[in-house]
Amino acid sequence: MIAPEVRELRVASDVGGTFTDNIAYDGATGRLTVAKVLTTPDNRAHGTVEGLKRALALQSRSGADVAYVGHGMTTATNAVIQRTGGRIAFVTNAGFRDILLIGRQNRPSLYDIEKTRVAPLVSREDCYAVGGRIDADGREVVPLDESELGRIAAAIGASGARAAAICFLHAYGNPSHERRAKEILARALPGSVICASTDILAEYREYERASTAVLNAYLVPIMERYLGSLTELLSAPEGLALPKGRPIMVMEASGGLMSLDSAREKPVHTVLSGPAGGVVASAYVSALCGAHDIITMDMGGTSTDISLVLSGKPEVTSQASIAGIPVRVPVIDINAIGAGGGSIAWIDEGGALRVGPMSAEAMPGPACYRRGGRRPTVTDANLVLGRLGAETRLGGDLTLDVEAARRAVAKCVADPLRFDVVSAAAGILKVAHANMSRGIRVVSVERGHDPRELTLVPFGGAGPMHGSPLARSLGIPRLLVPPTPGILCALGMLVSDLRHDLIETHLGRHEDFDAARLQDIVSHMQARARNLLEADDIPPQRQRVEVSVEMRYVGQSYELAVPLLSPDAGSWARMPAAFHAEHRRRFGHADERAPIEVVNFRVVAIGLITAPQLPRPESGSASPPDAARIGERRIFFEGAATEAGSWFACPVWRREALLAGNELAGPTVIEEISATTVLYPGDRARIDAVGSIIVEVGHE
Amino acid sequence: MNESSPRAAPLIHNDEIDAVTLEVLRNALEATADEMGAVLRLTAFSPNIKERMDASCALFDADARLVAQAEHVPVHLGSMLSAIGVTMKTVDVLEPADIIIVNDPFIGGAHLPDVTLIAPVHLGERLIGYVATRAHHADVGGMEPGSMPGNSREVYQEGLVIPAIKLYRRGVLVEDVLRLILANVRTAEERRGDLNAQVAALRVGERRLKELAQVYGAASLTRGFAEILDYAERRMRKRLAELPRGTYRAEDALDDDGTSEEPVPIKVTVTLDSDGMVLDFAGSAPQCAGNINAVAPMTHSAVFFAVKILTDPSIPVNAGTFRALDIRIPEGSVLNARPPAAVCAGNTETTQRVVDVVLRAFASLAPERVPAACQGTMNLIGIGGRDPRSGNPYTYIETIGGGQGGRPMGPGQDGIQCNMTNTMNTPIEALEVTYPLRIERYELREGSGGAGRHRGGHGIVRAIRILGHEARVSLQSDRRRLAPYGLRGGGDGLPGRNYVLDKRGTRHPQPGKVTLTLNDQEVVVVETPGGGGWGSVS
Repeated sequence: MIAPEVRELRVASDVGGTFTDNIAYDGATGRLTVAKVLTTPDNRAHGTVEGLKRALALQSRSGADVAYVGHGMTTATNAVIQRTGGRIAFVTNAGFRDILLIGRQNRPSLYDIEKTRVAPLVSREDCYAVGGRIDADGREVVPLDESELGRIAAAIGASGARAAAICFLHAYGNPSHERRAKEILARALPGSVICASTDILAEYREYERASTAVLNAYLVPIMERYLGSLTELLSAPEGLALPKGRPIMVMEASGGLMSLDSAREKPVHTVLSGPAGGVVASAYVSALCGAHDIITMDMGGTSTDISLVLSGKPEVTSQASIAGIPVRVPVIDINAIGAGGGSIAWIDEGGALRVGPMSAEAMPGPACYRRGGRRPTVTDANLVLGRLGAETRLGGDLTLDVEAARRAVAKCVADPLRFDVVSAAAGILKVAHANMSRGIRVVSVERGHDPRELTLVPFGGAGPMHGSPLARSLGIPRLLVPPTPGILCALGMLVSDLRHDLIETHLGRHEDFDAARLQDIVSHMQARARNLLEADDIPPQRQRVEVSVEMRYVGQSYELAVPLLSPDAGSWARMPAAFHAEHRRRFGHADERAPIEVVNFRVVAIGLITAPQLPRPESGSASPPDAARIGERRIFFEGAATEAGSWFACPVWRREALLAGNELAGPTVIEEISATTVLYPGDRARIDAVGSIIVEVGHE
Repeated sequence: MNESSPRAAPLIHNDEIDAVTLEVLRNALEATADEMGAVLRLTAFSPNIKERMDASCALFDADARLVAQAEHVPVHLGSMLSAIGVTMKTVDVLEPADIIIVNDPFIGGAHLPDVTLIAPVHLGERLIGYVATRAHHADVGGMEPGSMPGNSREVYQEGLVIPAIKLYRRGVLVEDVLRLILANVRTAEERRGDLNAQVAALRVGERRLKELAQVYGAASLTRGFAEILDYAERRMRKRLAELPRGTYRAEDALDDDGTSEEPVPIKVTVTLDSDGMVLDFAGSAPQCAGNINAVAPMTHSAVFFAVKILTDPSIPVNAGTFRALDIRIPEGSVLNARPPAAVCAGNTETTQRVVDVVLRAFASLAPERVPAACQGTMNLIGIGGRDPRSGNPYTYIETIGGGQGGRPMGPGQDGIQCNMTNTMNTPIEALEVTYPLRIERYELREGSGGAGRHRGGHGIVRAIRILGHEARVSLQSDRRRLAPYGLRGGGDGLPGRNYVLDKRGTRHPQPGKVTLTLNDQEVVVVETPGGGGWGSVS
């Protein structure tokens, strides 16, 4: 059982593509230790165990003391992208064998004939069609052809496929054929994984539901292998020596945590979970200082992940896809754009300055990394303009070559455009910011949210350098740079709650749902939710079950979720007004006369896991301690849209030495091991109680 | 602390728009078009716009030249490009916050269901540009539900013709105009919702364009627009200059115009020289009695599409992109019809064939870039009637994918939208919930792709059963007799076919373009063509 006390030792490990970030946090002492190790591609669990041991050793503790393990990984994501899973089968209705292949019938690029749409995870010869049909009202039109299903089971067995997904039309309304088919296949194919679409989601739209079920079936064998190895290594005496029964929680893409058993059964929930921890941690840290509506911006070397958090909750979408395959489980809505510190600046054949999407990545890296890179990147531009200093050590050890950066910017950008090097570098940043600003608009203004009411939370190695100009261009008034912006993802695993998502499609006009039907649907779903939480050993007082209803105007085909506070007639009667209000908020208009239809009921079951207190810096006065000021350097700041910029002499601060309550004025720069925060002229910053840098962005 | 620095040059040098401002401004304009598209999609009512995104949004300069667009179907690509200027010339007095509505093909350049809304954007009283949205409405009246009749002979039969008139005057809805429109369509509430969505998209575009004018100043913005057009032109000319000069000819044909079985030939002569590319369609069929006539902007769209495939798909589309092209289309031909020609299938079918013909001419110009013929049709099906469950009228339209032609770099894709359309299908479950119809089959039509080193893609079989009522079914399809061609020794794709299964299961073949009445439990089946193969087998 998960203990409600937070005065215990918890660890978390986040396995990324290059690095595995590990943290150990002792709730009793408030001590947080960090260990970054290289990811071990052969078996990623090795890196986790090694990293956790190191993080624990830094505070002289061992695995035996650990009360709780949080784990994030990209195993599922990588398996889909690299197609490392085994052969699987797909069973659907007669006449619809090719629904996975046809998909939504559209091609991936309007004009590029070289682009080929993504092949399904199941090859065509492993797709089977069986007689039987349910209609849109859930009535059986044609009975399930069980003898045919027997023959299909034999064929699947002979093919060597070890997993199968089943998706029948309108199973969301009547799953009886799916359930029966699952029984038959399971009996005929002992030891195989059989996944019915409505096991994962009882939501209409057959292609997306089928593809999600297939994805799950594809991942089950992979995840069983991986998690088996992980738990073995964690408990092995030569591994972490974690005592039996200590909870191990896995990050899911919705930003919640799932138990090991859930992760084995429904691994599709871990697809795209990589960036989730950072968003959850950003939301958590921001809420501590009263910022509940935020945009998170996780900027790394090759890309930037942008997402929206409203009222402290990450926006979750059910429209995500991975490598062209739809995933209809809740996923934190992240807009990934190809702009990072390593994005390369170039001049296209029409004479425009472009930045990315090509990246210098880690090898050869930006020109200033001294690893043979010759092409100018965003990082090089930052160095030329003094945002990064020659003495700045990226990641703790790498020193930067200013002259190499200047040469690259001069040769590839400044000379061909007949700019000076500084203007060229400033131009590179302007173009990079234009791309990123577009990425932020997608998650904010394009969804009806006014940036002027939001706080921008930049993190990742490169994020805090670019937060201020982006906030200015979008009219965002405030920035919040969380503490230790480089390890935020791992922190997310310590502050997140356990979560299950249930969805059922119940189509009908709002007025057609009477109290009895409503009660029936909701109480049934709530009972399922509580059963799931109980299976995870969450005691009743730590269970929370939230119900929402996805509705739309009759004739629309996109739904908006409106919370349902209680399944009674009074609450139900208030739903249309709430829907109109939400529609107006999101889209700027509502039609009070238009009839409303209900599409889905959603239940989120949450097992509250008390987050540990974060370590807090000591308090100080408004003026920072002298020891925090580590130097001064000249930094160039670009002007507004049509103006030139100029150089400023700027103090350089060491973040670790700043105290709560300290105030700083831009232009200035704050350095720490994993990131550099740049404040523009006019910006005013304050260090808050948990060590976040809160910046009131200056107006131009 | 501010130190002035002699080394930092200004980013805008007097009148010149530099490489940085160009890119920043282009991003801002494209982001605006995208944002308009997002608003339209989110707020629209009909599945055709929301699910299938049969709609486009665009921004224009004060001379009504396209500067940025977010198009989701290529057929909108060129038609918006030239038609907004033509449309605005027909409007006498334009005031701030007006909104013009148009669907007249001979003004707006598209078939009647594509309803275009255009708003001028003023900063004070100064006109700085226009924003526009074009969306395919599921019904605009006329002789058949869905307004895509299989057998129209005049544009008047295809729906309500709206010349360029004001839907909003100085920001105020002209109620009478809206009432007149809604009184002439079958699904008035859905139309009202979709028009509102288009207006919401315009409002966003208008606001963003004004913000840009405030940031840059109206004069700089105008220069920025001009530079963005020149930029696209430079990129296109560079790519054209890489192709071998010469004269290339090709010919293909539509099966028929729906009134006879006579093929409708389309011919092109492409001449590429140092000044650019001339495409001359002399010798193509005269405009015909059926509804496959295209207006010139539709033909332009198809040419632009083919040129984009041939050159660089990443070149942004604006009024500068295709300056290097001189497109000559005989007036009164099937590619440049005069009123009152019926045109609804000109958009969907004739543009497909224009792409086939132009690509065929390009095949000898750049064999490593040009695929064999794709299915060459949109297989548009429209079904309408009265839903027996509610008693309300309904209209369902859909286009069906088919085989892509074999490509120089690999096989043609199976069951996919080709050339001038890329709309998504309506999910079967969504369709069956919404309409009194049941889909019986939706799968690949095996063996329909042409043989070749790179096989042509297979077509699709889609079978739809009518439930409990009498329905009108319109089909607009082609390549039912004349097969999609193979290239470089590849075999032709299999032509498509349409038929009806009666209650006893007896098959009744149907022509490519037809309107039928079907009864309860009858099934209409569309088998779409396969793509041609590329390269000989051995």
